[in-house]
Amino acid sequence: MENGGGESMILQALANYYDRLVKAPDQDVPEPGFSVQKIHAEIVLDKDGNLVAMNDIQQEETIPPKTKKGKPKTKIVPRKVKVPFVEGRTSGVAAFFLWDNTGYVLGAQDKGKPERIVKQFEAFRNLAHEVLDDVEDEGARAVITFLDSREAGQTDAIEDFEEKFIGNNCVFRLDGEPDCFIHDHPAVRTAWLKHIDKSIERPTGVCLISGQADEPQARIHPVLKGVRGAQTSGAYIVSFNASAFMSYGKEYNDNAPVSERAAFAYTTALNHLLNAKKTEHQRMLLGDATVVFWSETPTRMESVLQMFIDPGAAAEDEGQEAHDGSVIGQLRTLLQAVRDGKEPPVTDLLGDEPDTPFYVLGLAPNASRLAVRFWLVSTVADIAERLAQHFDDLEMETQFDFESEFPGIWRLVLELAPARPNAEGRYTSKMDDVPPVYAGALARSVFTGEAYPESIVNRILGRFRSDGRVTHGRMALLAAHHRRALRKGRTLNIDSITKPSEVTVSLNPETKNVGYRLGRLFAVLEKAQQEALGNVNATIKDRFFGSAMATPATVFPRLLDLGQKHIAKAEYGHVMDRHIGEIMEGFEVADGTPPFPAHLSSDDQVMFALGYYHQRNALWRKKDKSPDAPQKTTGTEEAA
Amino acid sequence: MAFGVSLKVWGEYACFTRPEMKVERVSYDVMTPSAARGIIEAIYWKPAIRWVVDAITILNPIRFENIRRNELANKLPLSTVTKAMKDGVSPVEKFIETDRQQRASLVLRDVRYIIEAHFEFTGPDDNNDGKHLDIFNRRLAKGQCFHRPCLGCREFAAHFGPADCPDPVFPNGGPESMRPLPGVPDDKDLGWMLLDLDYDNDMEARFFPAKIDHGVVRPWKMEEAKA
Repeated sequence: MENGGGESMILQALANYYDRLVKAPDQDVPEPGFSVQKIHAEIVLDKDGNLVAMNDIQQEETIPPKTKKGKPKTKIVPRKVKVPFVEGRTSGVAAFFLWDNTGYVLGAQDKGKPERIVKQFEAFRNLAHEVLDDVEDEGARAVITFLDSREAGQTDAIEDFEEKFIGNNCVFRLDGEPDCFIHDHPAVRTAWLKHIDKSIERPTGVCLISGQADEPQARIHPVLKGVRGAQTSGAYIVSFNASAFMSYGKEYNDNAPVSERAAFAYTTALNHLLNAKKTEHQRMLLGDATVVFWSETPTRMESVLQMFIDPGAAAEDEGQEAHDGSVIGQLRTLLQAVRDGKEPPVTDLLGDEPDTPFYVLGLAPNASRLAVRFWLVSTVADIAERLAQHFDDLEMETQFDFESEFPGIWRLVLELAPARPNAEGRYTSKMDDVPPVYAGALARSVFTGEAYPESIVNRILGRFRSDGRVTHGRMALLAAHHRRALRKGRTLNIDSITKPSEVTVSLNPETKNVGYRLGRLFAVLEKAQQEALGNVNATIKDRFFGSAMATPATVFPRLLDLGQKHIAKAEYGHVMDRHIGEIMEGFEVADGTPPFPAHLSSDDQVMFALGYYHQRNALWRKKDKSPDAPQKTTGTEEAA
Repeated sequence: MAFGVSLKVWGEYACFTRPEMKVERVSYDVMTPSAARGIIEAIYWKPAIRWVVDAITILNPIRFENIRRNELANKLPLSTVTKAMKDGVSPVEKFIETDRQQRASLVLRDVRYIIEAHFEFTGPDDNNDGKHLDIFNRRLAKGQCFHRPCLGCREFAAHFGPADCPDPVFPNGGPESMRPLPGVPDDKDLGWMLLDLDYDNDMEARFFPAKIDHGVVRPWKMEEAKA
């Protein structure tokens, strides 16, 4: 309990993730007191401090082509090396420890004043003495002897000294140790860390991340970069930049005691997640929130979750990068397995340990600070199960082939925006038109398995009324909302629908729900009008959909009357007539109440839209596609 | 525990702000002991006694929600007050319209807790334990308070009553209403949580490793907690 524990805390989980990253061999994550810098050359010394050689350690780097047809280029770049580092060199003379440019390391520089170069070299030598004088290490002794034997400005004694090294960064290496620089020697490292601890003069206290007492406290935390919309220079999670944020006379970060070490750890880990390359798939954008996720130990879920959340984008990525197309196929198989809850469970497919803790953190910018949009602690198995539930709830027959069975969250959010026709007459929506909280709320519902926010229903019903687009995405969202609400124990404001399965994927002719039947009726009447009149400027849908959905009694008698005229005019009117009769028969008219209620509840309005969508699909679907295939109606046994 | 009391508190919103994320507020998962103390003190407090929170039972599942609010950015400077005291005419005022900050908050929704606490005497005076206990329980039952208690932030009002009183989930109250609902985590580590401020010791913040144990958080004693 003293050390670990507290997995639910954001900064603590990040600090633990940092520990994992530092141990991972393939990650360039710096440790406290160290940083990754660009190094051009190495100075090789023997054990007696004599110079053996000066080698170029730059590397070739391939730059991927900018266009598909271009060829990859290669260029020579300095090698990235983890070196001892503390921030804070501006214009003055301040040396780094065991690495720097030749002006400091050798006292050799082709620009600047000679006396300044002498000072630089002395500063470098003094720092080395200060840190290494009491260290028993061959490498340390070699460097000290080498530095003591030199005069600033002396370059001629170095064989192999080439003009090209002038001004470049160098590190030291001991002859006969091919893969280890002198600053990596354990004794040297320890001495260096002790040196920085001494140089930080901060009050000590308990750290509320690690729980360790008597640690030097961080005054200002390192900056976080890579949250979309935040200031490019970076932003803070922990910061107290106005007087109203401070309590009990405490100033700045004394308001929240965090040790230097823990502050470094959590910011480094978070920056690593936020700035990961696109291929690493541990970061995504949802509305205005930047979302990162990770598991406590490496899992495959870490690398595929982004694809689950946004399968469309993954497919686009694949297309652009022109990998073999089978990846999309694999993803589809995986998504279908997830949705259908097939054995073996997804964690088996991925090969992950199901109980591994899994974290999701959503950050949104606010001024120079970052706000936490959501924070979830879960396990790999729970996340897989909730995603399965999410896709299961979203299942809805598609209208067109281009529509995805597995819409990503951002695509769903886009359905909440007004759809406007563009120059070519196709309807498009813009992300800017959706209040950003929807994306966060929806993502949270998906990850936690909670019901969707009610505001989503009202938003979509409003969209139906204003732009009249009854699309697959919108219907999938509404159906998912009803199914989740029912599963969470909310009773719909409807008498006939009580189970999630009764909100069907495609046309259910058996259901007695008034809203649903009215929606079906409306679709038939629309079809009748179209068959009679062809394409007209304003169809009954354009003019009456909203009012038919909300207040059927005022609209339907007139629509039915109009419908009869259309049917009389249309070539195959009797078919429509039969449809209308079929639907009307389904209304239960008890003791003389008219079949058209004065108004429908918002739950019933959703059923209206669903009935309309299903019936319309059934009417317009090409007969040759699947003439005899049994339609998927899971609620029939109940209604029959 | 002779002086033990227990009460139920609930509300639609709550924000027990974590100190490290108190600017863009993020709430702890559970009410902090100092917030519980604040509620009890709003109902009854005298200089002779000091309330100590023993246990906080979580009755409702932990749910979060995002909100954004405009809040004041700066405090009234001390110099304004001193100036006004000197010349007697300078205004002592602060306008939200001219000095505000929009702040996001991750707050708790629909919370319900049972707080168990006892009191200790601060000195030799007014040491009639029966009296203080009776006054507290009488005030609790009648719904009296010195100021309206809140759930972490002033704007999130706390409703309160005896532990078995009726509440929004159990309108009839009774022993059933004192048990956690399904969905409350049985055991969970919460990390380092603010215990309270040590007013005897330069108002130092003290922390303890909080955990939910069978649905209950038991705070450490002030002497044990880390500063």
